Amino acid sequence: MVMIYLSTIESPEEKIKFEELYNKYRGFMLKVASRILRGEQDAEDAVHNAFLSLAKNMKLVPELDSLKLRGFLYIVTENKAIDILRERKRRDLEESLYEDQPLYAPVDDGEQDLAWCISQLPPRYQEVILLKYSHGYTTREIASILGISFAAASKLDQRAKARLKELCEKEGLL
Amino acid sequence: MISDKELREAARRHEKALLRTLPEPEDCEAVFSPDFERKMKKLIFRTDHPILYWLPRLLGVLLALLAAGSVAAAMLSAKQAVYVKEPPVHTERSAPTAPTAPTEPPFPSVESQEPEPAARAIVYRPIWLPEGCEWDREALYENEGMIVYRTPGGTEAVFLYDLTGAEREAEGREVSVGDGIGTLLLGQNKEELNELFWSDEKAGVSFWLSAPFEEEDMIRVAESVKAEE
Repeated sequence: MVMIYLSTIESPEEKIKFEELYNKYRGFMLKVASRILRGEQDAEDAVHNAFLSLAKNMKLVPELDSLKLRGFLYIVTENKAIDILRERKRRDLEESLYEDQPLYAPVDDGEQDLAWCISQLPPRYQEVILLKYSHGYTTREIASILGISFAAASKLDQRAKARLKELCEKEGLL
Repeated sequence: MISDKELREAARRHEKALLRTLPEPEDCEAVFSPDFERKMKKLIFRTDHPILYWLPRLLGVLLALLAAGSVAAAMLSAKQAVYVKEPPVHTERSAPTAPTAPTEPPFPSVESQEPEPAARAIVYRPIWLPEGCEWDREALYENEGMIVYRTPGGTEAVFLYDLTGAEREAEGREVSVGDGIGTLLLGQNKEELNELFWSDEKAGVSFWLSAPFEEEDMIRVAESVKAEE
């Protein structure tokens, strides 16, 4: 499988981009992972897994130094960190604080609008909404980025939108 | 109803707000463990020298396969016979016919080393087809089935289902099929058939339709597929 990941880095430009990503953003990615995972080792594993995913999806990685790239790296790293958190939960029967509630709900002008509702979604749902609507990826691309099947990605998308609709109705936005 | 435009704007705003809670990448100084550095060095080496990295491993795998193949061949010759029979074919409206697909089917064919009873719990078939299409033949197995229809133009329309839900990677355009999503590949010319892949997630079944129908009809056929006990 790893061979397939790496064989997708075809051009020298992509290889350079991958190395630049590593040098410039690994600290940022560790910061993202550390907000979710307590152990240093786990956070590093999440960053490593995120880089494996990036290697597999280099064609989908936004331009270097763009705000879009930062958002993309945030989503991919968060996703991998939550995978590790889930694994740890299974292993240690540790109660997860993050499974069904938002990780961060930044207040955007204090308004309870649609953006606020997105921030209240569980992280998995937020990831798929952000990848699809902020970044414009297709369901198939999202499946590849998150390392899940197409069927799982489309199910996640449908559930995310259904939950968002529920939230909006509850807040009187619809 | 939330429009896609509203969702796009809100998602972008939320993402910006999320990123504001994090420091700038250049301010994120981090010291990684030697183990992490080693793993990443290895990963970067693989991206820079994929052939150098993988060639020895591939050779190792090939040697292992060759060795395994020799052992298997020796075991088979000891048994002196391998019985591979034609897959069981059940048709409802005609005498049993060996299936022949007009295009290469996306699902593996069923091969059995021993005769097995006709076991098929569920059969899927479309209950709507464009006017003039006629059932031609079908091959139904335990976990998969193929039904071929003859279109008025004489071309074959092939419908396949796979009860194992095996997914097939396909490049194409996403289309809505009922409550789900399918992938549609339109033929580049008149000779090339259109193809549609979709699945029923609840039932764990995947479907494939290859036909000369218009996009709208491809989807309508797909949406009409029903299970028969």
